[in-house]
Amino acid sequence: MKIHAYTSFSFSYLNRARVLAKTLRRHHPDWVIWAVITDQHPPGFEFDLSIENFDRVITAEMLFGEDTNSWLFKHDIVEACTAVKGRALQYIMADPTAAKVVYFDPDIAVFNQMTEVIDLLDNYSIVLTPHQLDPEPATHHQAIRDNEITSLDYGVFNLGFIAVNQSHEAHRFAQWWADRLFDLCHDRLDIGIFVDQKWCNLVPCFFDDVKVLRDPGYNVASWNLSQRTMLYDEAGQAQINGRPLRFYHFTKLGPIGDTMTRRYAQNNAEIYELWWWYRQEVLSATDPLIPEGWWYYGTFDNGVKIIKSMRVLYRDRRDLQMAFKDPFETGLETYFNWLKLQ
Amino acid sequence: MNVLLKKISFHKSGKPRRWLLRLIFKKNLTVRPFSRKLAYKKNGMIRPRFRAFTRKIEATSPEVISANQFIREEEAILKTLLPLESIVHTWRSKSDPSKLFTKSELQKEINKALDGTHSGIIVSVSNDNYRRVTGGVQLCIEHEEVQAKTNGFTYLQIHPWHALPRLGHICEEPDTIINLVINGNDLGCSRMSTLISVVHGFDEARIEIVIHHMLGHLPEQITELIQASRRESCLFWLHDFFSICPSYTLQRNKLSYCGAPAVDSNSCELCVFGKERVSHSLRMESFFRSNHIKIISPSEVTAKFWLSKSNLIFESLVVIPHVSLKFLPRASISKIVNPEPIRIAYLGAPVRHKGWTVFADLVAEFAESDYQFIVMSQKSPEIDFVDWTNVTVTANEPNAMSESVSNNQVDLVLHWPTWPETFSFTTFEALAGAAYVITNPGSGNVAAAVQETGRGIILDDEEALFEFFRSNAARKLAEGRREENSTTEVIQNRSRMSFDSLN
Repeated sequence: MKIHAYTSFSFSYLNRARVLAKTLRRHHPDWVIWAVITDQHPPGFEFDLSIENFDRVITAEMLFGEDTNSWLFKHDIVEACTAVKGRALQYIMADPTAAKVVYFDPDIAVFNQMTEVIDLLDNYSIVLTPHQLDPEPATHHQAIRDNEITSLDYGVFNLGFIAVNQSHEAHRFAQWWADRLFDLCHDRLDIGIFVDQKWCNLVPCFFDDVKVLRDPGYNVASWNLSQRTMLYDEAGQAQINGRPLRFYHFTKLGPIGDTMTRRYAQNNAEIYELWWWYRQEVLSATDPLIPEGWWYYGTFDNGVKIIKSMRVLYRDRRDLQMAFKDPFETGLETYFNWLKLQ
Repeated sequence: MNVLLKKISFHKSGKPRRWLLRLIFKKNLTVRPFSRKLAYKKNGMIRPRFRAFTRKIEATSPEVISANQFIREEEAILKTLLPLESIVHTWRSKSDPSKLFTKSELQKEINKALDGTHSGIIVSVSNDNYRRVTGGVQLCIEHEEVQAKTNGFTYLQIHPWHALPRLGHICEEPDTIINLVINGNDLGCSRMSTLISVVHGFDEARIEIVIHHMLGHLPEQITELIQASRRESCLFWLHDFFSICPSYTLQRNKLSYCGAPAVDSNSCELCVFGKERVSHSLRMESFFRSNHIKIISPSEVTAKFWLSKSNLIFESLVVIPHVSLKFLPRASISKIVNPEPIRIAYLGAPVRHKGWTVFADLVAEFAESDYQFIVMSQKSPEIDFVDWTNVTVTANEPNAMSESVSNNQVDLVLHWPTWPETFSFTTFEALAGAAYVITNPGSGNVAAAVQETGRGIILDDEEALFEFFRSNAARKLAEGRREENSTTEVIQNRSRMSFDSLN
C-alpha cells in the first residue's frame, strides 16, 4: 500500500505542476504521483510520462466519458481544473494500492517531508488546512479585509491541499464532493459558491474525523503571511513560526502575487528568496512548445475563443445541452452556429 | 547643509514634515511618479542618497507604507540576481586571447625570469590579477610577491582568463586558459596544460604551489600542476570559504549569511549556489583527497569554523595571521585629545556583506546627534550626513588606512559583516589606527580580535547597536579609547605570508 498524491492542471500550468512533482518526488520518492490533465496537448508537444516526475495520468475523458465535452463546456479553465478534483479523488481511491490520497494544487512546492500529515490520517479521515490560523489584530483593517473577509467569501479552508484515508467517512466525503463539483463547481460568489473550495466549509459539519491542521508550516501563502515568519534554523531547514516549512503555495505568480507578498512579507527576506527560487524553477520547467495561456477547451474547434457568457448560457439552458451534445463543434447544426444566429 | 535639510524635512520625532510628504506623495499617500523616478534606480534599487529619507518614512509613517508598494532592499537585490549559469554565460562571453604561449615559449619566458634566482619558483594560484584588482586577498598576494623576491624566489601568479563565479567545468573548457604574471609583470596567456608540462620539465628548480583561490580553475588541473611540481604537498590559504561553497562568503542568494549547512538542506536547495555546491563539494573532496594539502588559516577562529564545517582531508593546518598587533606603553603619556563630536567611521568599500547598509541606517538615525560619521574609502559614497576621506591601500602604502584612522582621530569603527570574516584587514587597520571596533558576534575574526584586544564591543544585533548609540554607551567607549590612546601605542607587524610556512 502506498501514498498517492495528485494535482490537477491544464498544459499552461504544466511548468508549475512539474515543480510540484519534482519537489514532492525529492521528499517522497516512493509516493505515486498522478497528473490530472483537463486539456489536450498543443500541436508539436507530447506529454511523455517517462521523462516526467509523474507516475500516472488521468484525463477528463477518463472521468466523464462521452459526456466530457458537454460537461467541460460549462466551465472556464479554473472551474474545469477544480471540478475534476472530486471524481479524480474517487478514481485514485479506487486504486487498490492507495492507502492514503493527498491533493496538491500545481502551484505548490514541497520543502520538507509530509510524514506528519500522513500519520494524522491514521486517526483522521480528512485533513484540511485553513487559509489563516491566527486572527488579525483589530487595528489591521486591510489585513482583515484581504485575509479574513476574503476567507469568508471564498472559503475558510484552502483546497490547494486536502488529504484523505480509505475510511468509510473519507469515501462518503469523496462522493459528496464529486457530486457537488459535477453540478456546481463555478465561480459564483453571488450565489455563495466558489469552485471546489467553498463547499468544503461544510466538511466539518457533514463528516466525522476531520482534522483541521493548525500547523503554520503547511500551506504558507500570501493570505497568511501577515501572521507567519520564515527563517532558517542552524541546520538550514526552513522554519515557519518555528515549525518546518512543509509546503508553500505560490499563488498568483506575477504582479498580483508580488503585491500581496510585498504587503505581508514586508522585510522577511526569506520569503522573497523563496519566490525568486520558484520563478527560476518554473522558468526552467517551461516547455516552449506550449503556447502561453494554452487551453484546448478554451476555443471552439475552429479556433474561435469561447467567452464566459457562451459557457454560462449553455450550462443554464437544458434545451441547448440536449440539442448540442458537443458544443465545441462548429459547422451546421452546432451550438457555435446557433450562437451566430442569435 | 545636510543637517539643515534634515531639520526642515523631519520633526524631532523623526516623522517627515507635512510639506515633505505633500512633495513626495499624492493626497491618497501613493508616491508621485517623479519622486519614484528620483529616488529609485531603473532596477528598483533605492538610490543611496535617498536611503536615509526612505528609512525614516518607513519607520515613522506606516500609513504611507501601506498605501505604497515600495520595493524593499532585499527584493530589489533579488530582482538583479541571475541564475548562476546565466552569470557564467555573461562572464564567458569574452573572446579567447589572440595569442597563447606554446610550451617552448613559456619555458623560455619563465627561464628568463629565473635568471638570478636561486631558491626556486612559487606558483601562486588565484582568481584575478592582484596587480589590477584591489582587495584583501590581492594585497596578501602582492605582499607575498615581495617576500618571494626577498627570499630569492621567482613569483609566478596564475589566474583564469575567463573569470567565473564558480569552479571551471570540464565540459565547458577542459583546459583552462590562464593569465600569467611573473614577478609582478604581465607575461601573457597559456593553456593550463602548457604550464603543467613546463613545470614538469623543471628538473632542478624547487617549485612550490600556493593556492590563494580556486575560482574559475579546474581542481583536476591544479592536481596535475601539483603532481608536476614533484612536491608532495601544496599550501592552501583559507582566505574565505570557497573550499566549502562557491558562495565563498557563505551568503545565501547573495543576501544573507547561511552558515554552510548540509548540501541537501532547504537553505542550499533555495540558494542560487545550491545546485553548483553539490558538484563543487564532490570536486573539492576529490582535490583534497588527491593531494597533501597544508592549510594556512589567517586566524584561529577561521580554522575552528572551517574544521567544524568541512570534511575535507588535509595534511596539516597552521594559523598565520597577516598582521599582528602589539599594544605598548607610550614612552611619555600624551595629552588626552577629546575632540567633539565622537567620530564613527566606516572603512573600505560600501558593500552589504561588510555592513555598509547597517552603517547607512545608523547614519540615517543619528545624523542629527553628537556623532560625526566618516567614510574612508577609494570612492565617495552616495550618502548624506557623512564626511568622506579618500583612502587607497596598496602594497606600497599598506598602512594608508590605519594612518588615516589615526590622523582623523576616529574613535569607533563600525565593522558589521554579515559573515565570519577570515581575517579582516579593516579590523586590524582600525585597531592599528588606535580606534575601537564595534561588531556583531557572527563576524568571525572581527569579533575574535575585539575580544582578544578588549578594544571595542560586540553587540548582539542591530537593535542592540542602535541602543548602544542611543544611550551613553558609545560615548563612554569612545572616551575610554581616548584615555587609553594617551598611554598606549600600537605596533603592527606583517607576516611573511606563505614564507612563514615554507621551509
